[in-house]
Amino acid sequence: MKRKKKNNSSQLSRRKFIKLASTSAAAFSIIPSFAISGLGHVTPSDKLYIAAIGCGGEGENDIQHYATAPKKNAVVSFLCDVDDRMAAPRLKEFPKAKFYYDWRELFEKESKNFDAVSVAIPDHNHAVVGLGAMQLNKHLYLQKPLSHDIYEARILTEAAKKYKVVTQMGDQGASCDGMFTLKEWIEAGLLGEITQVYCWTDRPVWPQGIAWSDKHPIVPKELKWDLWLGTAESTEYIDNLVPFNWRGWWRFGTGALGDMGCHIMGPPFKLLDLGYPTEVSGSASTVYDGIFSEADFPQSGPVSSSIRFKFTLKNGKDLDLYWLDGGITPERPKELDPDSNMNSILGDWPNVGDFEGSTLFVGTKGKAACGWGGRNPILLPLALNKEINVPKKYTRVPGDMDGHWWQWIDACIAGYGKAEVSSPFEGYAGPLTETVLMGNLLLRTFSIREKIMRKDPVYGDQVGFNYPGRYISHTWDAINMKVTNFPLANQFIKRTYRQGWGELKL
Amino acid sequence: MGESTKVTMNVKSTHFIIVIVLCLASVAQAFSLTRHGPGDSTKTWRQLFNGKDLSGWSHVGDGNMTVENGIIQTHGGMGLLCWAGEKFGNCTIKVVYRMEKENSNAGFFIRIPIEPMEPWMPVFYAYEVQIDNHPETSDEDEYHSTGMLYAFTKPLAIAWKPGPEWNTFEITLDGDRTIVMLNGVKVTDFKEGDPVPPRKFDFEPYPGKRPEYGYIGMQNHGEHDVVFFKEIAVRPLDKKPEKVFRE
Repeated sequence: MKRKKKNNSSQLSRRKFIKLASTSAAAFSIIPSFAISGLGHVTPSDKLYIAAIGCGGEGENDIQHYATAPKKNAVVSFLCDVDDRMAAPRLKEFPKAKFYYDWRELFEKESKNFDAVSVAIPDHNHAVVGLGAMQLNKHLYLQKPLSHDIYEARILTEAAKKYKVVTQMGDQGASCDGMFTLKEWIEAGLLGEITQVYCWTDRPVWPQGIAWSDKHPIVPKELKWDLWLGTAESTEYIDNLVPFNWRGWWRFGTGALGDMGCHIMGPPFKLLDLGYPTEVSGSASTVYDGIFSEADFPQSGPVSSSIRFKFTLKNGKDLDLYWLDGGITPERPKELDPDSNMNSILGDWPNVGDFEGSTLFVGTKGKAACGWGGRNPILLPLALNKEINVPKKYTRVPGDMDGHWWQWIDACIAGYGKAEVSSPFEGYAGPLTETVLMGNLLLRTFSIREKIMRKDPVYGDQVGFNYPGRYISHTWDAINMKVTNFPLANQFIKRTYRQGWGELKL
Repeated sequence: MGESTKVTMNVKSTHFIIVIVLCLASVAQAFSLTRHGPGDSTKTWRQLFNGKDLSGWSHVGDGNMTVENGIIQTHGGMGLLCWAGEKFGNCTIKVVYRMEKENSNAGFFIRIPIEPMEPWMPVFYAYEVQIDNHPETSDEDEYHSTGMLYAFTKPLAIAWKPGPEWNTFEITLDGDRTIVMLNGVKVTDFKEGDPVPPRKFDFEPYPGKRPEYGYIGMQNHGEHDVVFFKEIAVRPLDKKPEKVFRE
């Protein structure tokens, strides 16, 4: 197992690519247009010139996929990051790429020299960068979830329509073979009518359910703090906020749902054509910092949560989707092998399709499970997998999950409306992100508290707290982006950006 | 039964040579070798390859495998030839293979959690007992050399023989412990939860617990990596009752 090719047509392995890109200009068969002074980049072209905003984490994965596209039709021509530690390895691999710290400066100075933008940065800045790119008529690959706020996701979706650019969210599972396999199984009626869906994940795998730190160390010298903050409210730096723990703080991240929701709710969303939810209810873990004293950590996502999303299907029937995270899982289906040992990274409970998150479809005739993005689908009971006789009706995305990036490149080159992508903002990624973020609206509403004075017959006046947002089912008017039965929840639909960042407008 | 006896003889003679070699290096290792050696079990080998065709095996992915003169040969790739419908655990699996060239790439998969529909799932979620004597030629480290659980373990000893010589794996699945003997020398001894290096590339396996009982199979890596297999056999461990899942 080495020099693995994920695609037959790809002659470049990941490892070979890194060598090539770092040592040889021959990796680019055409001189990028920005290198020719005075000439703007001319489209259409046989190559897609990409500006990559965010060089570490998922950004690294994105960039590697562009550079290893089987058709060699993508050039990462600009790199941008606010943290030298994240930028350094990419700069080494792409010595020809021009580097900027500030994406706004890059957009302003270089907009003629790239065709597309790929964004992999913390959630709170997704929307401003994404909209900025589309306003320059650039095609856009934007990591999941599309945005931090529901409102932002809606604006991005509208913008994709308005600017007619090819958009793809970074939920690569949407292009996974397993997604098509499941679609064929469901359409062939193997599960009967699907009545319930369960989605769960091991996230959060970073600290949540904690107080915002009152220790504010000096910002690491490699990090441009003001640029990192971007639209987020002004705040001091805390230890280990970058590169990962920001996910757990509502002012930056979108918690467990934001990290995995699009991957895990994606299969039912796509396969059952769910659309916007009509109702959301649920609960979250509560943390105590004293005897009978519930802690108030509204800045941080909860340790775990359980959320029900209600959808009205196209046939008029209702379907409940249950989301569980932080170690809470559905009951282990009795159809699994009773003698199997538990908790291996795949194959049994709770990691039935993958260890990072899974989906279980419950139908009137049978059940199916898969990992995030539809990977490793299986039928339950397991014996049924031997007898599957469903024709392969749908053409797979070449390259399986890796093809998610490559199909976007091809579609950008073909032009808007000419080729299909698996996770376009319109009709899929936008509504999916909004749905996922409805879960966060529920969680944040869950922690709203009001101080009350309570008369105690023995101790006299006592301070207590009331949680008005708990244990109610929020009715969602998706078209108008409004919770209709609990107005306090609506404060979480749209943030106010930090001064100087204005407002996100189409 | 005749074939099985012959094979045991072969292994014993190899065993004998290696014991001599090892006595020079390490008495302790030679002792452990005797303890785990192939001649000790009261159980007999069950041959999974019948020497004629690939009955009982099922191939997924690209390329294929064929049988000629009693030997399985890989063609193209990447694909996986999996023993169908049965999981193995608490047993020793014997794999006799050789490379076509001085070095070729393949692997033997163990503890595959679900029956594969494609060749990548086992890469990510199972263990691959690697076949590649020279990982350094592709900038890979010793965690990627023959007999290692690919990307997870570091050689306890170097025991591979270059192609086209025959090599023998004896892979013992003992509960959550996985031991690989290569040509009679212990090269890997891994227990679930032992530390592993961080995952570097997206074609490497995910760290995490593997099932006690899993499917098994061998890889056809690619057109330039031809590997031959002449024996795949399984023997239950003495100390534990055989437990076989048939679905």
